[in-house]
Amino acid sequence: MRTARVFRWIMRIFILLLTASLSVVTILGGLSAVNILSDPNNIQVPAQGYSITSNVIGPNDTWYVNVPIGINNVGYFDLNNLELDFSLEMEFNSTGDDSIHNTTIYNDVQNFGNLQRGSSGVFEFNATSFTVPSFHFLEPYEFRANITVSAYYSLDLILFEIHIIDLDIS
Amino acid sequence: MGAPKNMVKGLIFMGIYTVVTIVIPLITFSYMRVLSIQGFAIELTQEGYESISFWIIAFGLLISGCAFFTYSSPKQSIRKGVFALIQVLINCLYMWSYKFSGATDIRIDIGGYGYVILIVTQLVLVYMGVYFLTIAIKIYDLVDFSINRQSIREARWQD
Repeated sequence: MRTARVFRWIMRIFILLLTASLSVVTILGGLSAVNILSDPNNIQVPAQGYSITSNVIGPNDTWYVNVPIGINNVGYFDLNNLELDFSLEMEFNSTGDDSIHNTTIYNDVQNFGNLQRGSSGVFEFNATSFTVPSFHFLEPYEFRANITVSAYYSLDLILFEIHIIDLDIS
Repeated sequence: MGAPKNMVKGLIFMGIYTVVTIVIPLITFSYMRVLSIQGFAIELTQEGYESISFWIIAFGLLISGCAFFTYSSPKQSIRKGVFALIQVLINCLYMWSYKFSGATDIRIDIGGYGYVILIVTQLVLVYMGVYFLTIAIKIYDLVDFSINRQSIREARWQD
């Protein structure tokens, strides 16, 4: 066999191995998605409901929001760099008439690290530093949340983002 | 191998490439359109689905056509080398079409709640890297077939 042919075969085997590996990663990634999404209990945003506390409606009170995320990673790969972006908007009435005002009182991202395959976890997003308007406002008021959960999967080759928009959590 | 056998081989590979590049991706994206998460129906937007389908079918047909000419050509012929190179280049465009058709940033609406985005750009770029190596070896093949044309022909006649 000519040297050129030997070199060609080595290269072809190398490329074949690369392609086969990528195909396996892609197929396992797809199967993981099917496994995770087929059971509603595997992703719970939020898990166990929200928790919003404030003593008296007003700017100087203690505000606290807790958003738990429950994830059961039944796929074949680790879930990496799990992040939750939480933004809270408040609709309020400060004058007693029908005018409704809208302001973003919280916007932050928290990173929860990695979740190994085959394991499950509940990650708690705790929001405490709110930018509440500097005047007293009257009821009724509403809270609307924008939640984005993102993570890398399939050896960091796939990024998925779940966007939940205008969720009423009053 | 005789010409009829080469033709049959070409048709078989054309069929394989049609299944791999058109049928399987279209079935996958059709499945994603009717998927449900946590009881909520999710929906791949109609515009996105049509754009993805168009590019998949367009490049899939080109690849399948090239596969016929590649695999029906005599072994180690320049014709085979040229078509194999064209096929890999179209394969690259096919992979890249996933990016510009929007298939690498797949947006799936969750009725009334929001949406899910799958970003597979990184995966496509890794595939492109493998294709780059494949292009290199196809060019190498073409040069090899051209330089050693005489000896390859003599070996073929002896068979």
